[in-house]
Amino acid sequence: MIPVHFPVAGVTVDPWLLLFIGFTAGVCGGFFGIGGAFLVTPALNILGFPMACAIGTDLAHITGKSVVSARRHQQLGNLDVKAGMLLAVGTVPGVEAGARAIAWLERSGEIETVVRSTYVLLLAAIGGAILWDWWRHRRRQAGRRGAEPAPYATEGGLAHRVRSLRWKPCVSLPRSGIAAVSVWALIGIAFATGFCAGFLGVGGGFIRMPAMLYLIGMPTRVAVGTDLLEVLLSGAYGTFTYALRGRVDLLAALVMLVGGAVGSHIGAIATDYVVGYRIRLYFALTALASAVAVALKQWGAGQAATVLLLSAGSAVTLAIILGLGAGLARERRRLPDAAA
Amino acid sequence: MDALLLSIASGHQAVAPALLVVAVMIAGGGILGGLSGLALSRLGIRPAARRAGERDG
Repeated sequence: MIPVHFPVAGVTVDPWLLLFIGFTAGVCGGFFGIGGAFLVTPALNILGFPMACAIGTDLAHITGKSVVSARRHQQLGNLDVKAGMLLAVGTVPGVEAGARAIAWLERSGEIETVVRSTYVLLLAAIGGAILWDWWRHRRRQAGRRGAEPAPYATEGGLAHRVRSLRWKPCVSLPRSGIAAVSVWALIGIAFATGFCAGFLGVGGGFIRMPAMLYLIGMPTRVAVGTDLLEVLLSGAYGTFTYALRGRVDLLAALVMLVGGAVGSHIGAIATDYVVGYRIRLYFALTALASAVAVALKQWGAGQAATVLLLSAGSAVTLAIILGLGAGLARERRRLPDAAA
Repeated sequence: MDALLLSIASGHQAVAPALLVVAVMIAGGGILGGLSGLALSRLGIRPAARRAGERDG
């Protein structure tokens, strides 16, 4: 295909590449409930987009893509609007506080090292903890073969403690299967995850989704769907601030959105066919790959980091599509009339 | 086309062009999402039939 000139970014790129990047980020975003900025921003930067323009264009495409994913998850019954709105109350000031902490650190001159180290530690901890939980769940399931299914991590531990807090007012979240939880606990968790997002300069889906699982105790699919509402809100705000500074290439964002729209549907529908714990496994592996990539970047191997990120993103996308294909085939065997 | 895109992007600190960018992306997501959802549904890629009492594992 003939390369197209993108005037705002000032680069000439084959639009098929942008479609592919949008599609990959769409599948991962719809499946994990994240924006996918960790994948798109470095990819655009490699294609020649200046960094600020890469971030702005990425945020714009995330906004459009989140509309598709959030709507699809709502149709699937995975979107807890009440929880999403309550969490947004804490997320917004949290992001602002994180951004201010960064401004304070900037004056000390150690910002790059501190942010990257925090990013690596956080992603490695999240990925490692989820992988450990998946492994324990797998062993428990193996030991109970043929008996009752094993209980879920979200039914005990931290989530149980958070839910037993009775700081009034308390709300019920029927969509998430939560009878009562303190509003202050929800806002506090959202503030903490928002702070991390603002501090690290990311959308925060990578941090918020596991927090919804393990601290609030939402089912995996509802955590994915609800997080996409948060991604939509933060993406729209980020797009606005970058567009104010003329750092959004609207044409490139729309081309990526074409791929992203298709990918988002595929990712969201795949959550209906892939079991919750398999979603967590893929998420953990992606988080660990991202942690290694950021560590490589910190050690000066930026190109290796980008190759690792894009390879991990493509591999996870392929695994999700294969999981969806297998699920659809099973469904057709189970319900031959429905497939006809 | 280039002139139009540049004029939108070069409205530094202007709220209206920035809001226009956000509105275009949200509307674009709605339209493209609807069209691609329809196309995928025609191809047989659609949500699973609901399973009663389904759990997370």
